[in-house]
Amino acid sequence: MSFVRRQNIGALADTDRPDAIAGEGGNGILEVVEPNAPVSGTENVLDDAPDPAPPQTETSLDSGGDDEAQSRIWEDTPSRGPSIGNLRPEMMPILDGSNWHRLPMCAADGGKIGSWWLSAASIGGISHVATGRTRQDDYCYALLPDGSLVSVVTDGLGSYKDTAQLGAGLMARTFVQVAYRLAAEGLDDDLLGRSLGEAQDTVADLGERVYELSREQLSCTLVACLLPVDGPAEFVRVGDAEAFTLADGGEFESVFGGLEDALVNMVAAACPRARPQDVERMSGARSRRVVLASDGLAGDIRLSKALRTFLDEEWEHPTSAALMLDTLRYRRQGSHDDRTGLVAWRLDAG
Amino acid sequence: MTDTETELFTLFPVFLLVDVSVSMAGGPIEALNECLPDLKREMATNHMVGEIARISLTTFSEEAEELIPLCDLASVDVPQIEVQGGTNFAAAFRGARAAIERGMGSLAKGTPVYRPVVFFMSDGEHQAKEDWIPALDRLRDTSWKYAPEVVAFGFGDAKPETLKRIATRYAFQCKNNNDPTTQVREIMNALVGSIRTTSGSLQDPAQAQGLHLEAPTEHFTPLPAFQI
Repeated sequence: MSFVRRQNIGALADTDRPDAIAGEGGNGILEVVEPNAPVSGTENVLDDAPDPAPPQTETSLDSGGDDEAQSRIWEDTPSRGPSIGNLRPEMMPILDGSNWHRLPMCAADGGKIGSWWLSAASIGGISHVATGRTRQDDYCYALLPDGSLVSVVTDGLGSYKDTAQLGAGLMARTFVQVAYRLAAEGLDDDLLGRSLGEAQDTVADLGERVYELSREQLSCTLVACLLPVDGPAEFVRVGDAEAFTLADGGEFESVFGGLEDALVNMVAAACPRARPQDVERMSGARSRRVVLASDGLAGDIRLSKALRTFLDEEWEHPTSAALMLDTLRYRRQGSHDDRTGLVAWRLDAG
Repeated sequence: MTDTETELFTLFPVFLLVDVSVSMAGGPIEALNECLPDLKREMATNHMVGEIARISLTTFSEEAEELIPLCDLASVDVPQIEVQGGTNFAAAFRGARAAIERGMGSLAKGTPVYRPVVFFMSDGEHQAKEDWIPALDRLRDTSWKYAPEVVAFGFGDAKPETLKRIATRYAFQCKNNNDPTTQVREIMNALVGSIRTTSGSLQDPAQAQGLHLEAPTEHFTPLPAFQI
């Protein structure tokens, strides 16, 4: 077998709850097999799985004769990220040569900025990678004149699979640019809200003039944070991206309270067409660590204790860009969306 | 977030509702029995499908029978489907609703789920004396928390008006330029492709652009569903 062997750092799969589901009092026709095998050491969780199939671009049920050859042509590096759940073989990455608006599959940063260390990474979801779709998440940050740190994570809506990443990128960069200008001009009352409003209009104008795209085609969710040198953090959000404070001991506390009552991936609002009632604001959080996450990562954090444990450990101390990227390379059953995480550690003075 | 939490994985519940009346004898039922292992293989090898989709199979003729309860199809033995008797749509829709109740009720509390999708396949019309509309309406009752999307595929003697009435948004009729065996394979291809693309879309099928149906027009005539 030539598919990726993952360096598992612990037995993190839940073996107590069968993933295969049978109704109560099943009809007895079938033998339902417990699929969640323990994962430990360097054991390849995929040893018993059939050979990986190439990306499915046609609807035929028949696979091509050279599938096996295709599956052996790429290598990868081991990851510290865990494997969680009943995983299928990874599929061959595909690049789409026809979408020049595409983003690279991954991006990362890590370094000291003002009174903080900031690490961020954005990685294309494996469903995107396997079908040639571009990563559609983005992020940006800026140090304001008074030493405050503003940061933002955006997530292009998948219903605009060729263009929404442009909106995500433009919103992220324009947001921090506007925030910096307003702060420099002393107009820092409701800085995040004012930055959002002005950024939306600017992005819509840019999209139309430069790319000939409508606001809808640039749709993205957004979560932003303002960390002052002294004082509580402030947050603003449009859509289902999330912010967490991460306490010592590993408790991820959702700033906005999550979307537990919402159906999966039912995004209600998006930039650059969010109305005032679509904008959520929170403030008052104080924590050594603040996390912004697109919903691909946020959903996994909410649902997976194993992942929360892993990330708390990996994010205990400031990380390099490469390590930050690797922390998002975990595999989790059904988690196929883009993932973007931005972590800010408040550094001790002196 | 407590220490007693277990892992919860997002699932896409798919309920196959397949006509096995006597008119399906021969090539069509053989094609069905050939295609189901292919679907199982898709579940085993395609992460976008296998890690998210959960499949239930209910067959119907005069009565409905759930042959495969909602599960990871890669982990179960696929049964041989056999032809039975007449055609009773009311029993079919009652069976589908019961399968959905059992399947969705078996999921761990808090499991994030896409809205269930029922793929209905038939080569004929309702023949039993009882009226089938009340059972269909009960299946599609929007006040029911598990109310599914119903996608209807028809071939043979299935009538477009009936398929349109059954579907919530999408109905398709096989074009009559192929034999029934080939039509069954085309429907199963469409079905697997739809499950694959919807699983990979990362969107709930209930959204306007969440349900992706792979029904090429060279094989299918799309039928606009009735607006209720």
